[in-house]
Amino acid sequence: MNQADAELARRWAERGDRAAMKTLYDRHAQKVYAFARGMTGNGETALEVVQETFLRAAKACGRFRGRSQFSTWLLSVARSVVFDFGRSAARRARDADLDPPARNNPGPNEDLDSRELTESVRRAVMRLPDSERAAVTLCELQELPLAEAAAVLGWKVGRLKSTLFRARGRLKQELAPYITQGARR
Amino acid sequence: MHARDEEDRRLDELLGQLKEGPVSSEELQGAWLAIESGMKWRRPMNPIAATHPRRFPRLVPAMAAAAVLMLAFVVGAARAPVDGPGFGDLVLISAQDKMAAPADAGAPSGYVVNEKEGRDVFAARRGRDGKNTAALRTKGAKYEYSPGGSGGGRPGLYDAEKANSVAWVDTVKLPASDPSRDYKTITFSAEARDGTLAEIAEMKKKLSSTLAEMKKLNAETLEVSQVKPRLSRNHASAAPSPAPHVPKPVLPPVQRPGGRSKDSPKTDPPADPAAKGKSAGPVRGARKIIKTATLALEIPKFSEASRRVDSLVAAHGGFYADSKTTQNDDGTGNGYYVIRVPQARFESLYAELKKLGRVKTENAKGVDVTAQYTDMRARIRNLEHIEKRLLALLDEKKRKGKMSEILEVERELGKRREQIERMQGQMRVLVDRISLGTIHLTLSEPSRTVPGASFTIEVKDASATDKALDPLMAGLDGQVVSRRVTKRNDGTKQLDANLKVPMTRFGDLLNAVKAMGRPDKESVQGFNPAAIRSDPGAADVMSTVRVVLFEPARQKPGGTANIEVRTLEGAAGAIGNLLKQLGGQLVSRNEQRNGSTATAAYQLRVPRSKFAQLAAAIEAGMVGRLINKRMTGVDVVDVDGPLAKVPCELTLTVQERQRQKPTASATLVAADLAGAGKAIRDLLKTVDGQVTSHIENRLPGGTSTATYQLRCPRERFEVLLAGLYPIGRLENKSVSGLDLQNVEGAAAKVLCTMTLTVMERVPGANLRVEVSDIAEARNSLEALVKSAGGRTERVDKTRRGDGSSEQLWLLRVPVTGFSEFVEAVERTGQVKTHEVVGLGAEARSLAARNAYARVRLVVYEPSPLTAASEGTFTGTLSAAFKTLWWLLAVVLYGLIVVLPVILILAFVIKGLAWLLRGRRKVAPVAAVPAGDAPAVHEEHKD
Repeated sequence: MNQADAELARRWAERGDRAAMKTLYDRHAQKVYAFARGMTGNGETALEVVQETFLRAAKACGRFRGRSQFSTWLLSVARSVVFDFGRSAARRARDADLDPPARNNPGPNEDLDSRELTESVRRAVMRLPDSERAAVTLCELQELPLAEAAAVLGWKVGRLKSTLFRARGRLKQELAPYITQGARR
Repeated sequence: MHARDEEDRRLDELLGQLKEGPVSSEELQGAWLAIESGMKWRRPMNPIAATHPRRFPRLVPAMAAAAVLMLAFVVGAARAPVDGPGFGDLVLISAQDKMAAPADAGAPSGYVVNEKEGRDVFAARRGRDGKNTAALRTKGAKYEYSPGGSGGGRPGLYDAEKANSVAWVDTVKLPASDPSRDYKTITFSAEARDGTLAEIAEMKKKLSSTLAEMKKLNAETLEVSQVKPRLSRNHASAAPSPAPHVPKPVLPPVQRPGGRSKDSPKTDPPADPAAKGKSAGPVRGARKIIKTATLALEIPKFSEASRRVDSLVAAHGGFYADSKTTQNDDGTGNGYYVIRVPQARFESLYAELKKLGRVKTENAKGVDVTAQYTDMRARIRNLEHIEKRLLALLDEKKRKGKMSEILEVERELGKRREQIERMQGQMRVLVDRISLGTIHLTLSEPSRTVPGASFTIEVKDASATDKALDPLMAGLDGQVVSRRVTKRNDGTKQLDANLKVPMTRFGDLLNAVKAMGRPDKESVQGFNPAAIRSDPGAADVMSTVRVVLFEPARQKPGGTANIEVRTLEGAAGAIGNLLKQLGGQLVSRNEQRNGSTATAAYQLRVPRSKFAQLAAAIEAGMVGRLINKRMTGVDVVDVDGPLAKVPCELTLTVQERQRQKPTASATLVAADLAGAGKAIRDLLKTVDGQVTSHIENRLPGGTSTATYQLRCPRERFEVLLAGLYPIGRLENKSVSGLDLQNVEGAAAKVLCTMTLTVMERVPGANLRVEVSDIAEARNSLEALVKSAGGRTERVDKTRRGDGSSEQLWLLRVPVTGFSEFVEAVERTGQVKTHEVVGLGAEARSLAARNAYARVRLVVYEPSPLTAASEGTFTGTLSAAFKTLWWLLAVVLYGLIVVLPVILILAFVIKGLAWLLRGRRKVAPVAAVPAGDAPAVHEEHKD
């Protein structure tokens, strides 16, 4: 599969084979989207990140040597895209789209509680510093192996672990009410 | 540790909520369209290009193309050919109405418009800033413009004829056609697939025809204010030409050139948006709208309105999801209801409800969930389709497949089923919300001002007024809610009462209360007789009046007095009698004695009516001599009624007259310290006294003393002093403060102190008695000693050569018979020496009872000669002869005895001297001449 990814990337890089790129997109778009969604907290921006990531990847495909998995390389591109989109974009996204659901709309709202909870968790994640959020997104939400996640971030595994630990600590602190509530249950 | 694990587990659970399912493939397909088109402008770098990136040469054609494209848009738009060739892919989508936006902001929004073709994909998303981006890929579809339904559908172009290319529209906002929405500008960008001039020209035509079609479809002004080529972000920023970035009107406004969207005329507002929604029907079937309304009404009478609402809701087939009614203190009521009513009857019920009263606030809205509904339905259908295929596959695999494959298919099947059920559940909820509208209704009755008052009134007799209160309130249909009677210190009373009467009788109550006495304070709030008369419900509402009725205060008499008495006991008796006469009582008595002072503080209590008498009695000295007094509030006139019984208190301080406490000191001489000590103790027993200290000094051969500190009650002190006399001889005495008259009471028991020094002086005699016959004297002396009870300690006898003899007697004689003994001894002869001590009072004292006196007695008998001649001439002469005789005798004695001895001694000495001389002749040293002496010396040398 990885060989095939590398082969497809080569075909695109050398011959501009659009079908090869489309295959790569079909294989990895979900993963990139999930990462971007986790990092930006917003589906809209995430799709933009996906677009930009693949555009960049398409442009820089020639640099992919097949030393790592294509998906890892792609995620690292996505990471740089997310960081390039910048804190401003992320913050805008946070402020605009992460507001709690409007409550002034009366009427049956059965799943309001669970939605509110999800929003709180998402906000807590979004409040993390970029590096910690990236670590949480990759390891906790996408459940990538540590080594792969570290490769995506260009870190050593040790640094990833410590960042992850810090991030979890911060999250526990932020989500303390929900955690204790859950523990009581 | 366990807690931490628990926290980690919980955090994982929470984070798990953020894990999302895969994004819909439609969305990703939409994104791919963008990527695919973007890739045109960003060809992949070859390895060499990767190491040496050459950006600008590659980008220049792209930029140029974009610039030309823009130019073409502008030119083309200016001409705006109406009947251009059909454009291929173009979507215009309105800025999304808030109400149309799915409530879930986090979920990607979008829906499939035409799924039959399978390839035709419409994706729309709401942007961060309210802008929409949309992409459509279609084939052989026809666009139609729909302005949207009444519930807030999406106005836009919804069909396409044919073509296989892609166009992007950033934002399209339509002119305000519906006041409730805010569609004002159209902004879009388009991008051709290829940068060739031919295609750009083609694009131009498409855009123009689009606008023309839109105009046809919608009579309203359609305005396009900006066109921005949707180049990729990076590409655009890298473009050297500023042309694509400059927003400019691409198409001239049709009715108002250059007008911005805000200024666009809001002509022809649609008469009925709902009707419009029906007519423009790209969306098949009825619109799915969730209707909600909030209505607040002010109604004249709550109970009636409430009944009316019940009947209305029942008539419209609705029900209460929630209801809450409140009855206020002022008799008004209000209620809150959540009414669910079938969608079809929603409007009519809403209109009926509004008629019930004055509308304070109202808010009705419909959320168009058509998109969500359609999307959900399509997804379900799609999933069912997949499920069918999977079932077919399963059958196939069952026939000729591996177990693992069958399991794989079954797993997939299970997943699909689960998704279908979940979505069906959501669908049911949505359908419920669509089918039943919700009205939040608040009914409130205008509040009523209830009058209230508070009074403070001075009355003569609070008790009587209190009794009159009940009949008064009964007459006014009211009630006494609370009453509290307080008795004040000065015996007056205060009554606090809360009264309630119907609002209609409030005025009567005010008058009645004011008539009770002199109003001190009064305050009345919200009393409006006219309003009460016109209020039909006033009789049911109670108003409250608080009254405080008090009797005027009177100062209570009281005082203090200071009295000197002879004894406290006497004063106590007098005070007791006084209280008995006045019907008073002794509250407290506090007596204190400190040395010679004694005081007692009395707290006396008498009825107010008797206080003046008490004060007068004390002033008149009935208890003792008045030293000072202070009286306050003593009634001058007689008081009667309950006031007369108010207890009043007087503090009386009684002190005994001060007297000096007697003290004394005395020195006693006693024959015997031990005897004196015993006598003192006997004395103290009789006077109830005590020895506080006793110091005794017995000195060898000297005087022995004892110092006593004695104490006895004052009343016996004199007795003590008198009792000292028999003990010994009183040598000195000093007394101060001795009472001359009887002391009574507690003062008599005060202990007084005296210091008594007892000096021991044993009686003794030194006698020398000349007797004529010593033997006879001796006999008589022995008889005397025996008869006196004494004893002889020593007798020394001496006889001299001249015929005289002498006897020394050391005797011990009882002191009691001492003086008689001395007299008797002196009668035995001629007293030569008479030295006697202790023959005074001490000898007769109690202390001397067992004491012995010392007697030193020398009895001597002189020589007969001395005795005979003494005093006569012849006696003198014979004494002279005797003396001569004695001289002669001495001379003779010397001549006869002493001289021969001397002579003999002289001869002996002479003889010895002679002998010594004889030896010197044998060695005639003296014969040698002086000149030869050296020879002699020489001889000796040899």
